[in-house]
Amino acid sequence: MICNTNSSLLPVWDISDNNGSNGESVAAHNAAGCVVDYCRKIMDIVRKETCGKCVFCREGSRQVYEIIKDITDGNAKSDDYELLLDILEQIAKGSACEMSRTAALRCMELMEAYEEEWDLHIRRKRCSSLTCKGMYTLYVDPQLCDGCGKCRDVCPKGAIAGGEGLIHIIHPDLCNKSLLCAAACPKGAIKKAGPVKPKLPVEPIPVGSFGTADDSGEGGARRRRRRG
Amino acid sequence: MKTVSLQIDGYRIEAEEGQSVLQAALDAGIYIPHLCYHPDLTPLGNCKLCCVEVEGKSSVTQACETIVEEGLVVRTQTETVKKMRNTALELMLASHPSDCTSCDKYLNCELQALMQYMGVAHSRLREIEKENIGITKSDNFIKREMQRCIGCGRCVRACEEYRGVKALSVNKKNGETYIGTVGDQPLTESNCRFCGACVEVCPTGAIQDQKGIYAADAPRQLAFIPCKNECPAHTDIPLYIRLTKEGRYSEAVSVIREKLTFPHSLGYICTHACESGCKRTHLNEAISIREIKRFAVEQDKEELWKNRIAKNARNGKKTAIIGGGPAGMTAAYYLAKKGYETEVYERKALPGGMLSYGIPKYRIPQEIVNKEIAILKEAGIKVHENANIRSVSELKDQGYDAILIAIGACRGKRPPDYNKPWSNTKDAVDFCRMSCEGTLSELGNIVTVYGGGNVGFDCARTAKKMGVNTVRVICMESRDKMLADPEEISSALEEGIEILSGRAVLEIEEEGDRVAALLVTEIKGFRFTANGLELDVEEGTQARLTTDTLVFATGQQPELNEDFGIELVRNSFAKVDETMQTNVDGVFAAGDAIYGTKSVVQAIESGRQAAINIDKFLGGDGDIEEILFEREKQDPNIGTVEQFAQLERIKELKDACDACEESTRCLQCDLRLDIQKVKYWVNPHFKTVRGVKV
Repeated sequence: MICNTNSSLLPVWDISDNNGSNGESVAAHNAAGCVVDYCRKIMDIVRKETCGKCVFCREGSRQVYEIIKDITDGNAKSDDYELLLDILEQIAKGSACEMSRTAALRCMELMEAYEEEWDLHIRRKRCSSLTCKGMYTLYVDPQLCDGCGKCRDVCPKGAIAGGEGLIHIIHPDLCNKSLLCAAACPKGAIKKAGPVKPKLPVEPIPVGSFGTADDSGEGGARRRRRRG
Repeated sequence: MKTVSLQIDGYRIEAEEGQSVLQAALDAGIYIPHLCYHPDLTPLGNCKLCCVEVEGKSSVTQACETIVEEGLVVRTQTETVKKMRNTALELMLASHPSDCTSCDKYLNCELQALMQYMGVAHSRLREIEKENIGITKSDNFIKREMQRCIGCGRCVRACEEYRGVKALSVNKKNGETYIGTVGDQPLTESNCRFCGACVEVCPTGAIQDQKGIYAADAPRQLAFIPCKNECPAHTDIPLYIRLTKEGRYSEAVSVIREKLTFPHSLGYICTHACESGCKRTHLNEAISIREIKRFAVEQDKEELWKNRIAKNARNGKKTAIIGGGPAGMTAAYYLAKKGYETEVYERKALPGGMLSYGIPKYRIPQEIVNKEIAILKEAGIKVHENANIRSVSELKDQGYDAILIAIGACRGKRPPDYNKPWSNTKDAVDFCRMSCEGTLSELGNIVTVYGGGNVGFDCARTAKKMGVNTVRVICMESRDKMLADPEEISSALEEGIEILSGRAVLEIEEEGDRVAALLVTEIKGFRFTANGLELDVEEGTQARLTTDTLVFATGQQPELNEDFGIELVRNSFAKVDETMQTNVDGVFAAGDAIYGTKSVVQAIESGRQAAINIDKFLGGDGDIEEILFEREKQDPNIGTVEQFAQLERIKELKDACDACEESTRCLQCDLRLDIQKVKYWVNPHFKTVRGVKV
């Protein structure tokens, strides 16, 4: 025994976690989860808890974590699924420590059980539960926002435009998905959007003035597709 | 040793009981890749490269952790094994720089060799950038490029279990482990003994020796022991320091005597090149090696070496040595031991050369030199005193099979313009000789010595000790570049001698047949060119210094001329070939007579080489090596010493306690050579399997 850690550190996977859909408030999403993100999380724990002696635990968990992180960030490479299975298999077989073996086996099981979800992440860059950060955008629901400005105050990136009494707008390129705004919003107006983007005002406009399709010069709901 | 028989890749091989499968395979010439495994360290099975399949076991195991059993069937090249092995190496390479050519370990790197063996390159995996690679910094001894660390942990194990030091550890910061020092402290504040074991076992370029600590041009066996490498005779210094520390003085002297013929004298006056090489100079100050030598010799009551000195029977051949100085007496000693009838012709009343007639008595008492010569004479050397040989032909008819010219460099050499017979000037070599003979006459109130080497200081300090009021040393070198030993300079200053460094004599003011005064200027620099000396004069700094006596300590040359009967170079030096033979068959030369003034220890080594060459010339094997102390296996576990890095040099060893403390400061560089070398897969050892194909 060269390492004192074990798999009890790893959170359990609940099958009901893998759901959730577009348009729900972030709070609702938080209750749900994504299998890919779960695997990222347990590998993050393993790579940080490893005693660093065995190469599969130390380098393997780190490598797997980096690959899954790329996937959740929307930066997957097309053969990542096979690559992951390859490495995980060796970790499960060869690692000296129970924690990394268990984590690897669990990832492999979840990859096989949710192959479609993984494929969706890797090829379509989509997360069905909108958990993975690279796969959704945050927006302020113009119908719910009361212009209180609390979201703007907490945003670490200054990505939220708006003023008192104005509907706030999140700039998707600046947003780093810290989700602090969601926690701060008293109205539950911060929402996630997948590939289908809702109709939003282009600039902060007075609360209550957004409603008809004509107000938004950008046109209606649009679908953004990326190449898989 | 009980052996067991097992099968690896279809070969039946024999292994020692208790051995690991990996070591058994390697011993039998079957290569299994391995990285974290090292023959001197406890196997950990970390790197997974030595994984193998064992019949009857469901999972892949590490060969380094599997102990051999009778009838074991091992496979090292199955697809399962290869896949695991390759993945493990790929994972290590993911955070390792891919540019091998920029690394100083290039082509001498175990990791690189494994990449070639396994055909694995930086490839399909994500490149990992480790965050903690900058934490452990390089220091005076170790150059760290931790981005090259693959975390095999060899260095930590070498430090912890092999040396018992525990200065290195696997650390963790921000969820990332890294190899570092205990508590991230600099090694000077840790238990580190600076033994170099960590560098020795590192398979990559992560930790390497700083450049300049070890000589690049010496073979490994010498280069890693800088003191021994610097010593002209390559004395086994770390060993005699260790024996001195243990109070085994006679054993220490035995080790010294394997290489040095005048150990006690050297304990007083050696120029100790060893100390300038000492690795401890990169920490604080060199070990007082010369003082340890002297202490050991003076405490040697048993003289154990005397019983071990080998002496061949007389071989019927005769050798003559002209000059009974360190070079001549050393050559005579080894030739006599080899069985030659050996005679030494010494011009003076006493042998010893510069030990008797050059170095002042306050630095080395004559009895010590006499005693050492008596010991050498016991080997059967006949010394003819007061026998001044002026030509090789004088000895021609006496039936000598070989003659050695070891007459030293006993004539002073002045700058070209000053070769005048002034009545109050002397050459340093004559000054010292006369002082030793007690014939030095009235020097006056002011003595000026021109030349800042050790001989210059010998003259100056001798004059001061004779009661001369004002003694000054003038030398062209700046203070920090002076040639004399720092101890000589500081002693001279303590005695009230003036040192005028960075100055040159421009002109000598005569008064009849005497030198009255010197015109001296400060200089910024100087160099010797084809046209002679060129000075970079500091304008407006000229001064006139009166003097009663002027001593030229500006060099010495051999007293050889055409009449001696051999070919000369540079006017008065013996011309010799690579076997130290002159143009006359059977006539050799050694010591200062061929290379000019150097040191006693250099002359001793030159005498040894001359003995080797003469023996070979006369049909012998040229082997003069002797083991006067049987080497013992050293315990690699050196443990810790409190505040080791801070231990200060003890300049004078008053008692055994001092000697032990000073010896404790030694970094024991020699122990590094006991660490086994890992054999690469290309090693010829792996060309044939020592086993039976089944």
